[in-house]
Amino acid sequence: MSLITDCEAESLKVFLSRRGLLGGVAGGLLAMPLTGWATDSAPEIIVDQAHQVSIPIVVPDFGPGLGNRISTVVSADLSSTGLFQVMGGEASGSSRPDFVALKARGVRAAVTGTTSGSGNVRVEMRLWDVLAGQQLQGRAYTASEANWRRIAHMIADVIYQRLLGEPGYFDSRIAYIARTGPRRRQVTRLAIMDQDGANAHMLTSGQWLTLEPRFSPTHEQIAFLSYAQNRPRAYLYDLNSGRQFLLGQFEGISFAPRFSPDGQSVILSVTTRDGGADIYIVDPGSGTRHCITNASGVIDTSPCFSPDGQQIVFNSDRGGSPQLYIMSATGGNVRRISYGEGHYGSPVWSPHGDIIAFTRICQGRFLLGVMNPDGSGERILTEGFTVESPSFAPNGRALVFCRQSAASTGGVGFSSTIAVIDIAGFNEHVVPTTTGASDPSWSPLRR
Amino acid sequence: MLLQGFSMPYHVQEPAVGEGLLWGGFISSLVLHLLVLVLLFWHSGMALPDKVLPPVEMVYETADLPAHPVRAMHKAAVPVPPAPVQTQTPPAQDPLKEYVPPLSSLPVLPPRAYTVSEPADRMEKKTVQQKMPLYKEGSVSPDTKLKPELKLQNHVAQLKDSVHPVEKHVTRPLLSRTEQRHELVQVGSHSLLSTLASLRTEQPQDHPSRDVSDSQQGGDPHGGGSPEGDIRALSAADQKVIGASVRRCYQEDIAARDYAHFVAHLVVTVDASGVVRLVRFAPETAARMASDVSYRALAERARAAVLSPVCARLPIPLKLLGQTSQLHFVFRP
Repeated sequence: MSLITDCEAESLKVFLSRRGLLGGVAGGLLAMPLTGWATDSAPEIIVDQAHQVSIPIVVPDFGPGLGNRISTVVSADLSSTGLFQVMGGEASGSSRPDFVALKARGVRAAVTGTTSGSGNVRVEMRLWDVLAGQQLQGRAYTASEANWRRIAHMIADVIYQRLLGEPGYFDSRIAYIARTGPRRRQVTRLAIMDQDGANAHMLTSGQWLTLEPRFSPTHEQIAFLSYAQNRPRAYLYDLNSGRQFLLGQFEGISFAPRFSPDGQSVILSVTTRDGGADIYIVDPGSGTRHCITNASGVIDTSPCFSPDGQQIVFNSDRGGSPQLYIMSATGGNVRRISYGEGHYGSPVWSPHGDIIAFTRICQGRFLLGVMNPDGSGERILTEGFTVESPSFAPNGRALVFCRQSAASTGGVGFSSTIAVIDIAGFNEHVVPTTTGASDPSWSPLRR
Repeated sequence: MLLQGFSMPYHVQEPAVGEGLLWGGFISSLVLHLLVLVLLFWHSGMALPDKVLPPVEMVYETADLPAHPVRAMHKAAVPVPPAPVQTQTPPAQDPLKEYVPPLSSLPVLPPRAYTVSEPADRMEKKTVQQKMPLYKEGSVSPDTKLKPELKLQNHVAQLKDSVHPVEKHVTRPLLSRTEQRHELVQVGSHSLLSTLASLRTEQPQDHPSRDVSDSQQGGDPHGGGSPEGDIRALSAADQKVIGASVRRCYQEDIAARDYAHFVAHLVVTVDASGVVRLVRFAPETAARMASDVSYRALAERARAAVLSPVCARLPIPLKLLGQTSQLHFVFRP
């Protein structure tokens, strides 16, 4: 006697086959995400939203006397950027620093160095990554003792570049106008100094009013405006020989000179008979010149080449008020880029070509700002009674400019200083000068 | 739940009566068959019960009479050969070797008692012998540094950088439940426990057992070995927590030129306690670092974030700790 009937067996067969099919399909669908879980890939952890914090770095003395002076300059250079938190430490010579102790202090990088010799000195420095416990950089410099400041600046540049990935700007200079005497009868002289204010030298006698110095990007030359012989014209000063050359012969007043990126030509403004000013490009070697703007009665001034030499930003009142314009290097395709309230002037292109610094006058106040080459992204970095004449550092991370304070009755309280600020608008500090100073121009890195 | 559903595909909702009987019969039949198989395998070592044979005539051997084979009811196919003559001689003794009785004859010694001495009323003065003096004896001159050896030792010690080989930081595994803490290995002891203890000391376990059960052989699917602590089981929430923890130390020069497009991939080795030990850059990141100094600076600061003493201990769930593992970090603006 069978346990089940034929009908029940038939139904069981159908049920089992149907169930088996459903179970197989369900199992296949469920297995798909499970196979994803069963992969051997490590979990991925996202870390974002970094914050800007100075890099803690230990810069000990490089030894007594000269070593101490060098480390002081290095520390000052790094601190002036606002990107480093310089801490003192025990001098460990050329041996490895105590990484455990430095880690406990929260130090990220450490410098060790030694100095030896006299007359001709040898300076060795090593840069260490404290967390990784390895040497990042090691350099040795041999020079006359009189150049110890340059050695210190070069060491600071090495540290800056290795930790930030960008070239430093410490081994550079600033040309400026030194101002002495009462405000209404000031004596102005072309001067030059290290970017930290040391080693200041006067280049001209001060007999004539001197303004607007501009460093050549490739040569040891400075273009400037001088009222020599009571005729304001643009001149060229050669730092090696100390000689001065006239930049082109013009009927009108030539002013606001600035070198091209290759240093082979100078762009400047020349006044016209109709009360306007046109922009010229002059070849100092051959003396040839050609005009690239000729709008009647319009003042086109303060021209500045882009880093690639293909465009020129300049200041013009062709729209009715002083605004910023960009045109091609041949003079065509002029377009306006400034649209904010007030008047714009003194444009200068960043070495990277990504931003343009400018001065803006609005409601009786001077503003110093930057914008993109298309005019967007305008940001004000600082403001004051007078802030003007911006000039970029060689690596484009900082701006030097002139800041003047208001004077009370009789000119008391007036001051004219040179200050540096980073392009984010932070870390503004004054460059110490022995006299009043204005019209700064940052040189390229010294070779 | 899904896994359970997957392992039990036949959820019968409301079977019919006939179908229930069928299933019951099927399952009981299956169980009976399995029992029979188990019994067969279990008793495979035992001899099969002999067939019930008719009683045989017992013939007792004497010294004078040769041994006769037992007469069986059933005639063998091949005649049995005569039994060899045995002489009662003692086993030969090698005078050089010591006679070692078999193991079973030795009594099993109990484990040695662990006595604790009573605290003394007075502390006895004990001289502490130092292997290395901390300083040299003698007069200290003004030029002598007070701790030169210590400092040298520290410098020597500090030469070990933060990047350690993975094997050195594998933590000891947890004690197993079968380990007897107070059992001492007795030299020359042949007890089973002593043997096991000596084997443990000779072959120390330096990582948790990874043995897993084999379900085909009837093992418990969740049994066997120690918990793996597989860090691949990090949930998305856990990953976010770890990312937030490292973010505290993530510092960059946000004004750098290419920072807006910065992305770096780091492979971080974490020890069994969740502390970062090794960091290396992924191949694509390392390649870009070799060619772009600004990118290298940004990537090195990302590495510093995860190596920072403040953030090196990652908030990994306890259940996922226990072994060295790797995590993939992605740093971006």
